Amino acid sequence: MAHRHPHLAALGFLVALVFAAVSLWVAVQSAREEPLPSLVWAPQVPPEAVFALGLPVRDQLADGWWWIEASPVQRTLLRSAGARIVVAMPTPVARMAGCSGDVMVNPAAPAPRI
Amino acid sequence: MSSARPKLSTALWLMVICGCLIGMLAFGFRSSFGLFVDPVSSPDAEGSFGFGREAFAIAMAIQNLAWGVGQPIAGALADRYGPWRVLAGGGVIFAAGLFLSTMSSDPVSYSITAGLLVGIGMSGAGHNTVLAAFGQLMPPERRAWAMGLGTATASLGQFLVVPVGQAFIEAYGWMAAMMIMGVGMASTPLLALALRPRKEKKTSGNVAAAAAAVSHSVTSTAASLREAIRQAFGHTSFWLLTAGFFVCGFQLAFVTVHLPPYLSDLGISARTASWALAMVGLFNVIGGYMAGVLSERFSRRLLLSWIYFLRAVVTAGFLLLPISPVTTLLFGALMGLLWLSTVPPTVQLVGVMFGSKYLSTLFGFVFLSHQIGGFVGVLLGGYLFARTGSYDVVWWMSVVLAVAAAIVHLPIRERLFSPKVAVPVAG
Repeated sequence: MAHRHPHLAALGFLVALVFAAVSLWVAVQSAREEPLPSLVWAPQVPPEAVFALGLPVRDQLADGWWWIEASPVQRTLLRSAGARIVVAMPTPVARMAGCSGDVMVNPAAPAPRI
Repeated sequence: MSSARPKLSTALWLMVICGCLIGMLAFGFRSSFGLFVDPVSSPDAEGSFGFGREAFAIAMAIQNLAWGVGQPIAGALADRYGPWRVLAGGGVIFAAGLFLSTMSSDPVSYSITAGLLVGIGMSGAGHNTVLAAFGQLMPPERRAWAMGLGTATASLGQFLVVPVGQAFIEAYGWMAAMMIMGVGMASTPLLALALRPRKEKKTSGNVAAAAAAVSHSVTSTAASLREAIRQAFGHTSFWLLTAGFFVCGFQLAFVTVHLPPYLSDLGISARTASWALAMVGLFNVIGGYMAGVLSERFSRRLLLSWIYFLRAVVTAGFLLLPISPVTTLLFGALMGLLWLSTVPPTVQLVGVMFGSKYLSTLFGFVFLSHQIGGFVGVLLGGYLFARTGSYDVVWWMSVVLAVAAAIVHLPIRERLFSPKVAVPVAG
């Protein structure tokens, strides 16, 4: 296969490298103890329930998407509360992805790190 | 690249993969240094050396200079002792520089470790040496493809390793992150073993094996390295190619360093600027690979001419169109396609003109002009901004230089330098 289709093999190689890097990145992020900006998708969780968790909510987006600062334990809490996707990101990447980071949606929550 | 094309042996596949990994690691780690500016140098950051940004910048300038000056020397060593030895040695020096930089708390020692050692290591274990190795070790039918893939993975390294490096810094601190990168580079000698030249059995349908990697038209127009250098510098086409690559370095360095502040001055957010640079990295992967493949099928000088001409068009369009996040991202994507796409046809042109025996050395000299161009681009950008309060002069200078580069490639003679038959060199 690889011998006959070098372009496909090259593409496969590049995709494998991307997969390896992303896996490494996720593994490193998961190992961190401190809170990180996390992209959360919780379409079936009412906003009140999310706010009730007391976590710093950076952005409340449409269709159940949130930016919430959360530690690994807090991300587990979010998942158990019904969130389907909870992905932590380094702050610069989170900002590139759209996390505003400056204004808290729930001012009662602890102060943000970024 | 049809199925009628000769097959590659497993050993050559392994060589391509390991070479690509070396290039990716070196280019990715070297591109990650920007992440360390504040953690290493800021007097306010916890655990930093606190010697300030200026001292860090000097170390990086030394690193770039050492890379540029070291490239022809590394090339000469690769031509004499084999690329795999230089890749292995370069990787060890690179790793030593990374490790020792974590103990270099004063500006001078930091300049020696993170600057000089990493720069020398980069010239030995960087993607330039890998591409030159492909130019010497791959069968002619697969060289362009391998160089395209090598360029693409180096670009991918820039795109992937930087965020991973950032994650390491945030998770474990900058010293641990630097050491992890050092461990990664220390794997280079192992990977370099796959680039040892070898003779292969001739089996039906296996072309790679057919000619034995070593003798894959390892040709030269010169009997010695000195003669090869003399021939190259006495040949107008080599000067034209070198001049064109100077422009490449000028544009790349200027855009990398000065695009974010330029966009900031025009009211474009830092986030959009980051995305624009990310688009450059992403589309660079596609552009690098495509350039490798295309340079196998079409004239390399014309391909280079088109690349520089399109750079001029894209840059002029970016300057003339109303600035917006959309045009900024579009500029990033289009420049990404044209970013390192100059490398595969340039390496191949050197090989076409002077044979492959001294390819590493001669391309090293061409690359030195690239680094000088980068140095001038960054310096001129800062200087003229300070004098005029705007980057416009340098942007338009970049357009004019790109058109000039497109023109100077046209008269390049794309054939072996010596009108006589090239001298095949065994081993």
